[in-house]
Amino acid sequence: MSLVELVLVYVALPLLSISSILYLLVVYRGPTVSDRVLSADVFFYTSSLFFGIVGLLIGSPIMVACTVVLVLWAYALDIYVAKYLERGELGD
Amino acid sequence: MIEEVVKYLGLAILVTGCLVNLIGAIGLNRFRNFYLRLHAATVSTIGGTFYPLIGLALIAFSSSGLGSARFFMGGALLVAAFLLLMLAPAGSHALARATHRAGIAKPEPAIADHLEEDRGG
Repeated sequence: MSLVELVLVYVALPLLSISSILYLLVVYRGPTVSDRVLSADVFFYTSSLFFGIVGLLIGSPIMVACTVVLVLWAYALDIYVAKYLERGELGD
Repeated sequence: MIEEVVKYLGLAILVTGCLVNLIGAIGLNRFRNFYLRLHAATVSTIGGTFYPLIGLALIAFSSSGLGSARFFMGGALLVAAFLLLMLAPAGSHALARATHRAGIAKPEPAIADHLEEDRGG
């Protein structure tokens, strides 16, 4: 393995895994629903970065393209929960 | 030569961003309420995900072992970084505004709350 791959596997991916576990901890025990949604948001962003690194390591372009979808989905979750907290269900 | 420089520049940005992401995760656990946690979420969104995506795109553009798929990978990573830069602040702003309107979390270390005063509270 080259130096870049070694650094990606042994430094970047463990750091991102530790922070993903910390985000999921907040998702589990956050006192209000806003805390949970905010933390799930950041977890989706971090996992999109994770998918990008893994896709680059295994050389798969389809896995790299998943990052765009994950970012858009986290934004959709944000907007839906904000709408629900302000005015109730969609369509009202 | 220039390819190596771009590759190691991207690697440095990526590793620094992963450290910032860990710092933001610790802050998200340690802060007391929702409005304080927004600071930590911003740190780990822009500093911990946007810059590493740029660095990863640089690595993807400069790794010639992938053939022509590296342009697809780097382009997808740049698009994801741009969308994150545009959408993450908008999303957390909408969430904070809805939380304040619904009165779920109390803005605790606050000297004045002008948003509440404007609403006649």
